[in-house]
Amino acid sequence: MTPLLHYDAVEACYGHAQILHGTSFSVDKGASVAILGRNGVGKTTVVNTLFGIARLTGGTIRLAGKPLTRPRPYSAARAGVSVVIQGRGILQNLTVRENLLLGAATRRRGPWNLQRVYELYPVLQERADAPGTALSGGQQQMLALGRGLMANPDLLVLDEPSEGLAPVIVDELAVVLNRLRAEGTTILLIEQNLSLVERVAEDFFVLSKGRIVDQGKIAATGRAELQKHIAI
Amino acid sequence: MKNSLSWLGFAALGAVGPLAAHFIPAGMTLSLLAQATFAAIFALGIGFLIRQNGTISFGHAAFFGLPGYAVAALLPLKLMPLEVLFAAALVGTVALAFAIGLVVVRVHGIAFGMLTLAIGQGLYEAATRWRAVTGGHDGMTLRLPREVFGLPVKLLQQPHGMFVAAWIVMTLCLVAVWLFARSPWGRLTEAIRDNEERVRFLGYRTLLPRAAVFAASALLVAIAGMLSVLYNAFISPDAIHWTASGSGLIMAILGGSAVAWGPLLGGFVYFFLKHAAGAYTTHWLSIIGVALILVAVAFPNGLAGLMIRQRSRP
Repeated sequence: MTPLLHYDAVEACYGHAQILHGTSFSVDKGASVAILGRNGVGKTTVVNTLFGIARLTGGTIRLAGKPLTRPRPYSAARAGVSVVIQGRGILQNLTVRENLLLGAATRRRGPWNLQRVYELYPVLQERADAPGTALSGGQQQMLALGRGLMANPDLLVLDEPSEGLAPVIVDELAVVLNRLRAEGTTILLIEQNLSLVERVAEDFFVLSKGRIVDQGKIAATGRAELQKHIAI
Repeated sequence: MKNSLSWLGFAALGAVGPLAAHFIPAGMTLSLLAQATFAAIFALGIGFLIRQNGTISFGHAAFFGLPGYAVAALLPLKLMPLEVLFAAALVGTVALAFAIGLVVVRVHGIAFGMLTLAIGQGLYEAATRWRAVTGGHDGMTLRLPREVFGLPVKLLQQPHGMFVAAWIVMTLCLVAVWLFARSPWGRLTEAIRDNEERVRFLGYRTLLPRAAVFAASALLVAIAGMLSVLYNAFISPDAIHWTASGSGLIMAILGGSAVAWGPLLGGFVYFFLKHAAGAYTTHWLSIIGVALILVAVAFPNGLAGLMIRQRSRP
């Protein structure tokens, strides 16, 4: 089966600083994959290369078998990749509703629309006319995820989604991500919170100094082994 | 409720001009008011660019003068009725601004400012050196027909008639800016202004909306220029010099561009401050400078921001 996302010996840089040194991994359709690694090893650069923020200088990225020769932020989104970025990226001058509607930019067909996001997170409907940045951290994460779903993505990428969230909110996030997974959404999770990773991901890749150095099944790997990959 | 109040406000604003013109005796004051209204529409265009794109142009005066030059150059050829020529000049200016926008909005900050300055000064140089077409530093006088848009041209060249006309046009421009800001396109361009990369991540190509805003701001400035040409029947390179762009910027900053009507207020305040100070000293620019520093330091959102803050105090 052709993987939904395939990185083959990808090299990427910001200016002259090379961050990814031949990164290779695959995410199959319907899978839930985590990329683990310590701070500064290039996890976010994996996402930024897909969206053309980091410059692809070598190797190949394939989306549903098609090579992305010159990745651009809008081209990845139009090809069916939604990203919930680190820090959430809520647009400050827009209301909750407007933030959500912007997520439907790609006009891809699918099960997600404004009403369905409101059903998933009723609090977003209650606060639909409030400025997006007036929400609590947890609610902003709901908004960021809801906006990502509005694009009806084939692949949902989440970069450190649990950052700054209370454990109870992380629990709720895990429930929602598992629900999405059960409905067939492919998930790529970049995360250091093992509690979330263990509940959501099936497979993991470990990134170190811009290379994949380990991989495996979450269920077959002990917490101590996983912890070793993210401990400073 | 809020919408109804806004429409009521626009209606009241639209009525203020004709009412004022009725009570103010024809003469210098009305002439100044007419010219202040041109300045206010000019500032509205520049403020619109700041508000929707977050960029500061040092070359927008070029769009103030271009349609006037186009009309002055083409009018003697009698190719089309004046009304059509006016419309064509505006459309041409907007098309040129859109094409320029496609290049300049790719950069931000100082680079954007310098690019607009270079383009504006390039057009200024062309206006001063291409004497056969533009009249060089002497400028061009327009020989207008007797009627335009069904009105006697003489009426529009008198302070009373032009002030009323310009005021109504200004109100319509403000309504257009307000409606745009509330439309999905307006919200999108604000989102791009705040976090362009994030919006591109969502699947938008941000170049076209930014270029469209640049062109729309040029249209507002061009409308002001067209009114000025109609009133004065004269256009000269001074109208497109970068200092004219600088004045427009000062007006927009003085009034504050966070709300649509801020630059209009700035335009009127600047214009009358300039004339009041000019009556006492030749160094009136220093007074404007001090006022600008005071506003920039004490009221970063301009006079409009100050007024809103005062109104919302308990």
